[in-house]
Order: sequence, then C-alpha cells, then structure tokens
Amino acid sequence: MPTLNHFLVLSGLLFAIGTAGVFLRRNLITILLSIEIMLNAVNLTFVAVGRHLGTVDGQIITFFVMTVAAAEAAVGLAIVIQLFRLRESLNPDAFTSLKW
Amino acid sequence: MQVVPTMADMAWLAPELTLTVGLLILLIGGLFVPRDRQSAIVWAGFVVLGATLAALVPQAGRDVTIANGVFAVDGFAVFIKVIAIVAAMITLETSRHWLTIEGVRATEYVVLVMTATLGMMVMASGVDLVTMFIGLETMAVSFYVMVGYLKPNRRSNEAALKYFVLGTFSTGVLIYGMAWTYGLAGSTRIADIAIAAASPEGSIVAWRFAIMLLVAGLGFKIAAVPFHMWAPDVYEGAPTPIASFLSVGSKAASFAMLIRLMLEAFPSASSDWRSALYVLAALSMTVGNIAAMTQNNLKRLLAYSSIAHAGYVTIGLVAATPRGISASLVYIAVYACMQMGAFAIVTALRQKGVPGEELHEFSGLAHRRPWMAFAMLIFMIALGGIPPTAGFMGKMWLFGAAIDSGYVWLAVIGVANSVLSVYYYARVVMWMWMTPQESEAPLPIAPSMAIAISLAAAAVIIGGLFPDQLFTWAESSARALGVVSVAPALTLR
Repeated sequence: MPTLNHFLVLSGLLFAIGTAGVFLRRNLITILLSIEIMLNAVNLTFVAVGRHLGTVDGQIITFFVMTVAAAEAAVGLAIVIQLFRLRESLNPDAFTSLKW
Repeated sequence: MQVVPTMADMAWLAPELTLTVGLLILLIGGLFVPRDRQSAIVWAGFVVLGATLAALVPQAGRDVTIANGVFAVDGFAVFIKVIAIVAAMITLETSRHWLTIEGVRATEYVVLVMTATLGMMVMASGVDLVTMFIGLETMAVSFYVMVGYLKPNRRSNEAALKYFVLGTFSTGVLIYGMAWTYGLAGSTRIADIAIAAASPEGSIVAWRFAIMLLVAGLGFKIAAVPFHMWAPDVYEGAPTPIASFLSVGSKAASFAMLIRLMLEAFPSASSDWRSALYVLAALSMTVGNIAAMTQNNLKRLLAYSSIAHAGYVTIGLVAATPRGISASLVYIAVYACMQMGAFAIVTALRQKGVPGEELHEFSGLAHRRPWMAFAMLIFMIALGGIPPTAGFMGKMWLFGAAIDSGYVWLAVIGVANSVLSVYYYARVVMWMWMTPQESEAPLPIAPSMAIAISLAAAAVIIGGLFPDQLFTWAESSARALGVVSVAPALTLR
C-alpha cells in the first residue's frame, strides 16, 4: 500500500527530471515537454496531499494547473513555430540575436 | 458555507468585472474596425481602463474579504491596482504612435495589455494560493504573447521564447511550493496557512523548503538576482512599450504577491525568509548596478537598472515593519513613474528605419529635442536617487526603515549602490548633452507621447518636493495588511 511519502518522493523525482530536462536538453520541444513533466509532478503532489488530508481541494486545484498548462503550451508552441519559420532550427543555442 | 458568489460580492468585484467586460467587447468589436482606424481601439482601451480606475475609487479605505475568503478588497490591493492600471494606461498612450511605425494590428495588442492588467489586479487581491496563481498566470501568458508581438522580428521572437521557457519554469517552481504549502497547512487560504505555520506540524525542513520555492518562483517574476538572467534579453528584444509595462506592472504585482505571502501567510517564519530576501536584495542591487555600467543599449541598461531597483524595493520587505512596507510601496509607485518615463523616451526615439535604442542614438538629443532631453535628465537623476526627485525620497525612506529594523549593513550596501548607479545614469546624460548629434532627421513626437512623458516627469518632481501625501497613502495601505508588525525574533521552532 503506497503511503503519502511514496507519492511525494515520486513527484519530487519527476520534478527533478523536468528541471534537469529544461536545462540540459537542446531541443525546444523536449524543453516544453520537460516543463509539462514539472507541472505534472506538481499535480501529483496536489492529488496525493489532497487524498492524505481527506479533502477534494487538491484534486480541484489540479484542474486549474492543467488549464494553465494547456494555455501555456498553446502559447509556447506558437512561439516555437514562429521561431522555426525564421530560423529553421529547434536548437536554442542557434538563437543568438540576443546575448543568451 | 456559502460558496455561490452573492450579488454583494459581485459589487466588490466591480473594477475587475468592468475590465473583463470591456476587454471582451474590444476583442470582438476590434474585428470590425478598419485598418486605418486602429487608433480608435487604443482610445477605447484607454477609456475602459479609465472606467476601471473609476470603479476602484469607492473601494479606497475599505477592508473586506469576499468570495468565500479568497479575494481581499483592502488598501494594499487598491494601491497596487492603481499602479497597474495607470501603468497600463501609460503603456497604451506611448504605444499609439509606435503601433503605426511598426505597422502591427492594435486590437490584440490592446486586449493583451488589458488581460495582463486584469491578472495583476487579481494578484494584488488574492488571499488564496489558487487565486494568486491564476492571476499570475493570466498576466504571464499575456506577456509571453506581447513580448513576441513583432512576429517577423527575430529578436522579439527570441525574447518571447526566452521569457516563455524561464517564465513557465518559474511557474513550475512556484506552484510546487504552493503544493507543499497546501500539504503542510492543509489549506490554500492565506489566513489558514498563517495559523498552521504558527504551530507547525511536520518537518520544519519541509516548511522551509516550501517557503524557499515560493520565494524563488516569485524571485523570477521580480527579476531579483540570482533569478534575473532573463530580464536584459527579454527587455531588449520585447517591443519597447511592452518592456516598460513588464518592468513596472509585472514587477509591482509580483511584489504585491510576495509581500502578502510573506507577511500574511508566514509571519511566524519571518527570520527564515528575511535572511533569504536579505541576500536577494544585496545581490540584486550590486549585480544589477555593476552590470548596467557597461551597457550600450538603453533597454538593456534599463533592464539592469530595474534589477537593481527590485533589490531596493526588497529592502522594505526585509525590514518588515509598517514603515518598511510603506517605503516599499512608495518606492514601487515612484519607480513606476521613473521607469515608464525613461522607457517612453526610448519609445519616442523609435522612428521609421531608426531603432533608437543604442546609447549613441541619444547623441545631441539636447539640441534636437531640448525638453525631451530635459525629461530624460529628470528620470535619470531620479533613478540615481538624487534630490529633489521622488527617487531620492523613496530611497531615503527605504534605507531609513532598514536602519530602524537593525539592518544597518543592508542600508550601507544600498547607499553604496546608489552612488555607483549615478555613473551609468550620468553616462546617458553625457551622451545627450556632450556629444554632437549624429542624425539631422526630424524627430516627430505624437502629442499623446508628449503628454505621457511630461506627466511622468512632473510626478517625479512633485513626488520629490511634496512627498507627504504619497507616504501617508502608502502607510494606510500597508496598515491593511493585518500582521504587518512581525517581531524580528519570531521563527519556526
């Protein structure tokens, strides 16, 4: 029977994987996916904690986070597509008009 | 428990509802406005923001919590909302001429400025983690689009990408901190969190972890060192009026959220977050000012200067006394005037075929446009903290509050940094007066732009000569925060 701590450790791991992905991967789509992993780690935390506390708040908040994540993904993909049209590349290191 | 919003609650939401209805009407109505009448949309947006400001007037001096305890209408919220709305209005006014030069559509631009303002207003009023989060994201997503608004422009797109990646990353950090806070406190309401944090159950390390995640997530939004690296690039690539709105509105609303979270949710952990913010403030001031010295692009220079100013504002929160918080609020208002004025002049220099961002493009401005150079001089000495400007009074209160609370060294770092910063502000002035002008091209200025710049300059001077009014208002706003006097010795056991 998994306890709260199991869920927290799992979500912590997922969050760390997402964080590492944002800084280590060199493909914009993978970076966007890493951010999604981070947000889903947060969702897991909310649901697990909500269940532990015996309230539905955590599960409701998850829907808010999912909505926000969807809005962010829409804007993010639009930005990536526009950049790809201009630069024909998905490698963030290729974008050097500004000092990174 | 009453969950359905009552009509009385709706009346308290009048400013937010005005803005929401107005921007929805504009979004649809804008489709029917012909391309050569785009200026009408900017006017309509200006009027809606004005109506929102008017709807805010009856809320002055009130202190209620509505909508089942997630939304506060108090002096503190009203103060921040006024700054956000006025910043949005100035942004629209300075954008009018700029929009025709860039040749971009006005409708979406105006609507996005308004959605961002709506987000800021919710952030200022939110007393529940979820409400704050939704407000923050409404603002942030609007800004992601606005920063990349110049679609064919590579720099604008790159800035949008950079802001988007680091912005969503910081959102992830912030909401993770909220998840931990919710788990530890068992509630997302600020008031309940304060009660739970006063006698913490569970591990102290977990509480500290949650607070540090929240501070880091908001540190990105206020562009405090070491979470600042996005700011210079984003400000440089973003459309100039948007960079100005980003550096003022977004920063003011994020500070509101940070101040409310720290003071109202975690007063019992004050020694923890105060030491964290101490480091942030000292680093932001020093790194921001030193990095600004070598910049030749005005937008980058102002970006680093805004990082340094985030450090100054944080001093008031470190002090965490009523005096410190009101000094922070005063400085946010003063900073809004100086920063938006300086950015407005950079926007004004943008002409067909002339970027108008580099320092050398300011050469001889004193001969080409004497009053504009004079206004820039006022903004520069105000940003540098030289009397008789409001920038000087604001800094004096901040450093005074820090000394009152026993943070003498923080005040010393602040004063040293102010002296340091005069160097690069003076550099701008030197270029305007001491160098021969490069271009003979005419520099037409739209009347709306001239009015916006003059008003900002006047506000900076009047605020410096008669500061009492502003300070009294800020003090009563700070008092709205229930637990503003935290004893320095209190900590999580």
